[in-house]
Amino acid sequence: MHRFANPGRFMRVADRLQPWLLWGGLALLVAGLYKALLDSPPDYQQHDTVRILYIHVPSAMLAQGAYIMMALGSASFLIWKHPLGDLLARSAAPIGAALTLVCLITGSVWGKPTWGTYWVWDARLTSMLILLFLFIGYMALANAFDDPARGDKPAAILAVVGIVNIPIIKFSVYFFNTLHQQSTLFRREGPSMPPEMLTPLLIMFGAFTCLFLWLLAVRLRGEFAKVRLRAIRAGLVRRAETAGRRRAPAGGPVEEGAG
Amino acid sequence: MGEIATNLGALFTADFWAMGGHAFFVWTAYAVTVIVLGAVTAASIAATRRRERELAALDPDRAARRGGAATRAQATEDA
Repeated sequence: MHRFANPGRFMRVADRLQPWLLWGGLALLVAGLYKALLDSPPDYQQHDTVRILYIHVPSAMLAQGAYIMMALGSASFLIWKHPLGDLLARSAAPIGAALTLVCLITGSVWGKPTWGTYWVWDARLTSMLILLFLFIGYMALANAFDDPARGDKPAAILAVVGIVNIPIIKFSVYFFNTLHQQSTLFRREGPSMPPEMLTPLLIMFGAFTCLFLWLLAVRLRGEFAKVRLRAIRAGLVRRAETAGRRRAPAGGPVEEGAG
Repeated sequence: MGEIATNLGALFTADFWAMGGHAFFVWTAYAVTVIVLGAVTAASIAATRRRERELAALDPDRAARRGGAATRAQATEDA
């Protein structure tokens, strides 16, 4: 594991995986959409609205996966001051926020025909909404300062503290009275879902996972470039300052070089 | 193969798009997914490309061997 803590090596591995993740993810997406929309049967109770399942569940699971990634990255940044952890968390946050939003909206339009309401303030739905706020809060804190080295620590602390929400989401359907059904996938006796629905769900989950990791790699490259840009610009400013000072006869601060 | 062709043929029937009377809910869910995830993907690609272009303009040598240890640690050291 430690070999991948070297940012350069990490990025080389990520770069090499990127095309596989993209094309594999797209192929799975085509197969999954075909299965989900054309091949799988309508539910005997929910009829065709059950097809929302195939995007709702993968986005919900990956939203939480993104959060766990963000919290672990932030923890490694706080504990070992590892810059890669901070960049990983910064890259995962917007994707996680988007996935949470997708999960909430698809769940909402699924709730109307199934439960008779777009929204209820019950444990599962509310804890998922809190997840969205955690992502947004993290992004706001991480980008709140002109000097990103000031925002990274508070943001990382928020991400780490917010991890308590993940088990709350998971167990909300067991501990509280909620409209949301309990898990049909992760139970001791195995998934209680017919194979003609389980197969498209698993394919769609695979597609979402591949494309999530691909997008994460794209964003990480962007974050690396941002850090380099900042370092180079800081170097240029410093060089301009020293050059300006040498030229200034009386010494003292040189205004045009500062900033 | 014949089954896939039959299934794909359903794309051209109004029945498929009607989703058993639930067209609004099903297609809203799929449309929102495409729009939201498409937007974050497009924004991410655009931001990464813009930064890498700026980087290449500032530092051509470094950009040529991209993947070099560009770390926050270095950034703070330099600054």
